[in-house]
Amino acid sequence: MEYIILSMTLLAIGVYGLLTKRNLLKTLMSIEIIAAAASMNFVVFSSLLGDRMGQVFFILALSVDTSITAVVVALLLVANRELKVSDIWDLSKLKE
Amino acid sequence: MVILEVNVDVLSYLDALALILLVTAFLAIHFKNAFYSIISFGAMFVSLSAFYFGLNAQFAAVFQLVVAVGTIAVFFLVSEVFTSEKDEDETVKDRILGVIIALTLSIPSFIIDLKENHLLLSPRGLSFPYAMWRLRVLDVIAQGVVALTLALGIMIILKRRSVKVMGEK
Repeated sequence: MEYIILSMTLLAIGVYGLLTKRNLLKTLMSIEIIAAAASMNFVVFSSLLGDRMGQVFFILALSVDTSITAVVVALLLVANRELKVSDIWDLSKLKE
Repeated sequence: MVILEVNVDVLSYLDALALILLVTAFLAIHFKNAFYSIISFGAMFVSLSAFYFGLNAQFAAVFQLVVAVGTIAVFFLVSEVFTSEKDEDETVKDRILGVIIALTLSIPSFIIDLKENHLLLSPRGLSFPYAMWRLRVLDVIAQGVVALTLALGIMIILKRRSVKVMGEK
């Protein structure tokens, strides 16, 4: 099995979800999947090369990713409370 | 240069986890019901964590699992808010179709074999993992893609603007 292809497939699934799904929850999940696909490479290559530095980068990347998710969820909850939207296209009302 | 080779070895522990990972990731996106979608998403994270454990990266595995638990909890809490009543459950046929598509998507990672000896990335004979990690090939490629996308976007905007100006004249 090739880990690069695995990571790319996971990335493709995330991009597919991001482009086709309009539900905010699905969009968030897609972003998480893309982040998981990207950070997977750190662990895989650190494991293949016996270099623990990759795991350090992974932990850093995952921490930042989780923080971003928390902020995005908070923003979306505020948007939902103010505008009653659950569809990502309806968020364009924020411009008004 | 990518060498295609059919790998007929019996599925190993990591292969099975990778298969579960891809299937659950796709189903998390595919399911219309938020509850099933989040359950599938959680299964994806658990299989990813087990995958890291199999790669002898225990710290990464535990960290991934801990973060996943928090993420899934938050997703469960907000799922009610982000799910509209219009969303309908998919039929059994749709679910089976989703699993089939996910299994099909997982095929390339099993049949494509990027053999180190045949991968002529460099005349110095650098291996693929070495090149990816040490030389940051992926970074360079990603930055190239970003630059190209940016250039394409600017080109489209300029073209639209010129068409608009021509229309006004």
